[in-house]
Amino acid sequence: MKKPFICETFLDLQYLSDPKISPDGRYTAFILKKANIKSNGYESNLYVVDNSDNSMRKMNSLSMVAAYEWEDEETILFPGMRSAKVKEEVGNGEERTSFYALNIHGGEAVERFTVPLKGASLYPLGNKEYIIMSTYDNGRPDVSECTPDERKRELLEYKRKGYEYIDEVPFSANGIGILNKRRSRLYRHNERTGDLEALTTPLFRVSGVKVCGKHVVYTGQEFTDVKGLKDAIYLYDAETRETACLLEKDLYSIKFFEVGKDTAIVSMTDGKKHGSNQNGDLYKFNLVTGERTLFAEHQHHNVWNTVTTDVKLGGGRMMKIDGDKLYCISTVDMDARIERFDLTTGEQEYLTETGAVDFIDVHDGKIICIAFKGMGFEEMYRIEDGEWHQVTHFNDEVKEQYEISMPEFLSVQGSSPFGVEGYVLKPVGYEEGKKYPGLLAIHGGPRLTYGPIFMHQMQIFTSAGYFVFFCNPRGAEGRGDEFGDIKGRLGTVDFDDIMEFTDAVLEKYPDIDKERVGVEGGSYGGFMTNWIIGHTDRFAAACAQRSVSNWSGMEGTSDIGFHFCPGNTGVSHMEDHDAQWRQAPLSGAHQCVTPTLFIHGSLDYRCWQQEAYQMYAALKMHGCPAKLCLFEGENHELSRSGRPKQRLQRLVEMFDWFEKYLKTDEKEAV
Amino acid sequence: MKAKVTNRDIYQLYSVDELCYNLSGDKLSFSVKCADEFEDKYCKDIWLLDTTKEGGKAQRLTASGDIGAFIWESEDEILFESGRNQPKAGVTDFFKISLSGAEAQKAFQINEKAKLLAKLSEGNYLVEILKATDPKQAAADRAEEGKEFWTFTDYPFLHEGEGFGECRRKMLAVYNVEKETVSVITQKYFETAGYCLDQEKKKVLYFGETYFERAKTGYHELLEYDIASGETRTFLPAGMFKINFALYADSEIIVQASKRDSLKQQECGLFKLDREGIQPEEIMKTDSVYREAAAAWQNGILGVQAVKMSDEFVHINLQTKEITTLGKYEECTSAAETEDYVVVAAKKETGLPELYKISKKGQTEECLTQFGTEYAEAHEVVQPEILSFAASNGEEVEGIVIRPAFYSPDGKYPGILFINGEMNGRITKAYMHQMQMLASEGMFVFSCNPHGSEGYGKDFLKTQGHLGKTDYEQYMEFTDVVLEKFPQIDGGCLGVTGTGYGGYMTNVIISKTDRFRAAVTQDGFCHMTSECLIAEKGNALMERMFGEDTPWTNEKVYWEQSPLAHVKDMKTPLLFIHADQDHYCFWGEPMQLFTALKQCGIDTKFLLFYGDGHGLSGVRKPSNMVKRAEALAGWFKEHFKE
Repeated sequence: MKKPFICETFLDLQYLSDPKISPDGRYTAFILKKANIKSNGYESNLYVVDNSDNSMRKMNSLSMVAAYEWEDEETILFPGMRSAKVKEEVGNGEERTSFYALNIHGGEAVERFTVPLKGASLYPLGNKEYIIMSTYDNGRPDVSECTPDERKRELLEYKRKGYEYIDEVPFSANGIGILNKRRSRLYRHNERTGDLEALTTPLFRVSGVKVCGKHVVYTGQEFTDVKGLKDAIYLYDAETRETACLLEKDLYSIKFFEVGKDTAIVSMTDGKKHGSNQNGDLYKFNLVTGERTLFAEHQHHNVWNTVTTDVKLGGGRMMKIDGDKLYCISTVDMDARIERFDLTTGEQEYLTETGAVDFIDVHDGKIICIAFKGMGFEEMYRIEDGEWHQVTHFNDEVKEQYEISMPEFLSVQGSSPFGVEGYVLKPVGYEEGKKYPGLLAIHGGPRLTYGPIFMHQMQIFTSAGYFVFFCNPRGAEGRGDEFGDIKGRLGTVDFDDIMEFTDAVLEKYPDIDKERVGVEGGSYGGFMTNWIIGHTDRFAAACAQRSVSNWSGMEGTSDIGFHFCPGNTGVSHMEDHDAQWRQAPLSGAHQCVTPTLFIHGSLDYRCWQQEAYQMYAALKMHGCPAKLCLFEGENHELSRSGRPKQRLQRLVEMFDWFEKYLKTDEKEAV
Repeated sequence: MKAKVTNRDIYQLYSVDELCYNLSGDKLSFSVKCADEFEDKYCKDIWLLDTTKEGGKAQRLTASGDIGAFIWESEDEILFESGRNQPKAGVTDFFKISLSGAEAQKAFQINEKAKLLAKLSEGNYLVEILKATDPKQAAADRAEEGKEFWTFTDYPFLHEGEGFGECRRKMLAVYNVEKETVSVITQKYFETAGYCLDQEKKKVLYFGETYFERAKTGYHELLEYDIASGETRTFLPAGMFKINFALYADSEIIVQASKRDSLKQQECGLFKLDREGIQPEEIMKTDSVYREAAAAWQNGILGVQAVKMSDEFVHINLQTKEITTLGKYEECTSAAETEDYVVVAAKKETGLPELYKISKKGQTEECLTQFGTEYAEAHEVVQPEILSFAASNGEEVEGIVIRPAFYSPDGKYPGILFINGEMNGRITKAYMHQMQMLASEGMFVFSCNPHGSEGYGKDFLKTQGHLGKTDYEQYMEFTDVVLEKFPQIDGGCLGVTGTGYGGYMTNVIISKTDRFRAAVTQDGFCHMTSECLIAEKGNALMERMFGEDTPWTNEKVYWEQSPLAHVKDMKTPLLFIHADQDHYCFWGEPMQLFTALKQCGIDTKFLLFYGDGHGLSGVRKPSNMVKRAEALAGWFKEHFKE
């Protein structure tokens, strides 16, 4: 007999990320993370797989490793803080990052060098030279002329100050906090001489950097008051030490880019038709001539995996240039596929069909990826001729132990020209003719995607005897810009799609008790949950997480920037507040009768806690049962990367809420 | 030459409060609170004064600076709450100190967050308990509720100055020292708003509201608890009255309250109830709320009343309805009485708070302390001048002007319109640090009490339909009058600032006029729908500002009254000052306006304080108060430069 999923199950899972093949192609390194409830954090370790026989070793032990780079075919560099001296210096307010070198053929990691920079990451240029990116704080006092004592006092005073000046927008970042006048900045470091040279100006914010040979391509912009929506692209030549602008700012929204030999491929859009949410086209930049050409129109699909789940952690590569081929991840309908382009002919093909690929790396045509396949958990795979070969088996044991409810596809034509597609998960141990509660789940974004992959939260409910169903309404990603653009129509077509899908589910699965259906969602899903409870009483309970309730307040607070709200509502409050109010869930809150649980993080700088506060208060004022659960120090990522205890508690709160309102009759009957 | 008032004067200022006499009425205890620069916190200690002796000197009793509430334990002992032993969260320690010497000894502890209210009998105390109504046990390997997460189930869910709270209530309880029992006398979900103990200490009259899983309305119930029998009876049922105070007066109970139906008129009155619970009988309408030691005396009550710019200590004869002024101050914060006289803590003229002894028969008044003498002698504090004018709507409006320190009639000075902090509050002539500091920086500082201010009668007080309109017009008319009267003010160098309501008005003003060259919004509202839903007293604010209109019947008026809606009309460089623990105005609100101003290319900056609450009284670290003042003066100086 297999075990039911419970709230705690995510603690047993292991999360893979950041796969990188060694320069000679013989090894693949990656990061493995696992929750630790005792320390209330995540363990993060470096593993290396031998590509010839899939044998594997954990490489670090003295401290955790969360980021790394291959320096050569046998050396891995990673940032860490192991030395007592460096720890003390940091305690005195200094900024430091040490880099350690680990030979994969033996020996413990040794410290290679320390730079006076905070939170640095590095990209080897070869010959013991590195491009380093770190956070530069323009507000930090200049202590270069100070005596050691003065220096320490000034730095500590700055560290402990009880206030902050904010004079630019956006000024915060979800999960990080106030970031006023702090910039990610590029440096060049020479390990032999110790020289550290800044490549960008103090007020220039670097958004991304890629290095290939002597070519360092980076995106970003300089700003003082208002950050523009569209970055510029620069090329730094490590040989000549010259910087050239490849693309001026304010022209294109840059989504992703990758650099190969003499070539950069950039996914970007002018957003003229669908705004900044418009998917990027692929442009080719010749790094020798600076020439730019449209390489492939790609509006129908975007680059990166938008298929959401609550059981993945960490980052990694989504594009790779290998020889004369470009590999990238594209979300197509409900799958995240690996796509390959010939850089010369432009010929395009899909290398995988079903499954959700998170990260890839490619060497001499050999593809490594980390992905969700079937209803399994994240593992590493090798893709050969369209065939999947599983390399790691970290979660096999868990998979064996638990009863996983399998998704059943459901497509509804409804009133939409596109139709609505989604899935239904039956309760574990389902018996025909018996009545079950149902739960509608709504994803975030809105330009994200639900796919037939494993989601822990949903399986908790199927294990507890619920039907769970979910769909991709208009506004979701995977079906192109026309489908995904619902600007100015929030709460109309998306609401219709979700309701029609719900109708179809209830019709096809008559064993769902119509009186006991709940609804939940996070972020945009939280917005939609808030909208739904104000516009229909068909749901018996709701849970709105990290939600949005009042666009006009959201516009000036969200870390995404003030363009985000008009980007969704079609207009700024400065032009037409009424239009924003009409699309604000709060405007319908007085009609709400659905008992609703609000879950929010106190450091959510994406959707601030004020959003939940307002909706919650409105329900209370109108006598509707409501509860607000606020998590100290948690942010927009609580459900995915929140500290384990808090992440667990969130599930418990939500589970208890639906049990209370959707299972009451059952309990009374018993 | 006297010194300028600077931002660092915060470390020399203090407040006096919590006056209380021992039973025989010869010794007065009170608290003095001041800023400790080294520890960067506010310290409160107990002081003592023998008011029967001529020229008696105030003497400091405690020294740890972390004193909570205190009461007289006996004729020569004081019982007080203190954090000196660093008790665990949820535990309160009490100490006893004798007037005849020796440091305080620990008396007992209560395993609750408790505040001492009164001694009932030997070993029995009336206390106020602040606690979660339904505490949950923390399980192993689980997040701890109340620390790592909070669940809110009622409204209001934010309480100013308290940090986040579970569903918690202020409860009244009797603590028995011997048995170590805390017997709560209020109902489980009752939030206590005020209480009064009868002379024999046998009955507790209290008022508040029971609410659970729904929004608190602000309408109170009046109850009486009999300590001996443990019985509770209701005097005024829930939902009818907003009570300011209730007290025993001979055989009657006197209540100052606003009736539900008169609330929109912002009217309140004094009511009489006999102890048998007959329907309340209205004695008289009152022009303002009575505060501080509203004690019964000689067919009437004693209390503090706002009269124009002054706080008057008055006696109201309930039979003749005659009001006699016993003492007149700029500000009066606390009072205690004996048979023959009253002692008040008050600010007079430009002085810092002192104790004043007033004869109940009137006529005589004596200043008992000299706490502020040294500061006054050393600093150039400017006496405000009254300047009244007839507003265009026919109302007589009173204002003040503070000339720059070291003023010369031939000089040219910038001028700052400084708006008071509380909606339906007012500006007075009392020493106000930020104003005096700006005067010392060489600026004229002026303000008035426009329509909506208290102390000028109930018609003048009416807010609905006037906020942001009538008050705005009168501030502008006043500014014209000031500029005309004082040609020394450079009309091209005007600034405007205020905290709370003053912050809101600052935002309103710069959305309607460009006459100010710089503005500083401290703790001000920007988006009224957000404000009315999130703030602790949001629904009361909604009622006061918008009457019947809610965001669901008429969102337009909420938006129209929101400074955010008028951002495109703002041109004035604006500095925001706000704190992240402000539970009266969540800092997301000014952030919305800040971002919109940035979008419009307006010169603006935001100074965010960590850990402080709402307004100047919410500042928890003295260094933050110093920084605040520095930023305020700095913004004006920077923008007044040619």
